[in-house]
Amino acid sequence: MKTIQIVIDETGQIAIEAVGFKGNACVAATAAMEKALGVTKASKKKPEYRTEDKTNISASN
Amino acid sequence: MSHIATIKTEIKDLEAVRRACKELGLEFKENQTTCQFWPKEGVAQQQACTHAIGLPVNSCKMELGLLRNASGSYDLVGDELLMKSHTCKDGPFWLKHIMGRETNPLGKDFGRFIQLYGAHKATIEAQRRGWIVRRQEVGGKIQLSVTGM
Repeated sequence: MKTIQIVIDETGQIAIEAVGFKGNACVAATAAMEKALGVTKASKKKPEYRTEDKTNISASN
Repeated sequence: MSHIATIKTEIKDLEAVRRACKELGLEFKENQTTCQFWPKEGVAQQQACTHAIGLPVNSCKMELGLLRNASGSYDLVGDELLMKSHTCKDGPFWLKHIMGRETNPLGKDFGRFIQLYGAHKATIEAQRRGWIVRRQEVGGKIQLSVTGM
């Protein structure tokens, strides 16, 4: 399920994480939100487990 | 792919300010262009601002200011001692009397106010897009879980 997790700490700093999106859709999902909230200080992408790859390996075996 | 971003909150949305004020029990004084605080005991000072926020007071009028800056967002202006104080132990003697409680509800460096502003602003933005927001507080942090996209 696509989810955006937002955590706001005691200083007001915000961490946004988009989870469950395919490809770069995660960036698009949060871009407008980030701009509305303030200034993005840091940004990184995390590769998620790709179910498509595992399905292909099982089929070939 | 998942994507993580860290954001420095900027105060821009007055509706989110209104909601944060309401949650903290503060009075939002839209378009009031001066705010009053007490840099010295017994001496009130007026400072220019774009909007003001009234604090729950017992005996004297204490306010914060929202001052629009060059980028179009708002800076918080207010009493320096109030900003640096979290509890009555590290705050000025009048803190408990002004707030009527043991800890500064605005948070050190107004962090609690900014935190609530961020939570309300994110909620407004998500709901504007028809998404569903679930909020909880864990260990002093506010967590929003947004679904429905």
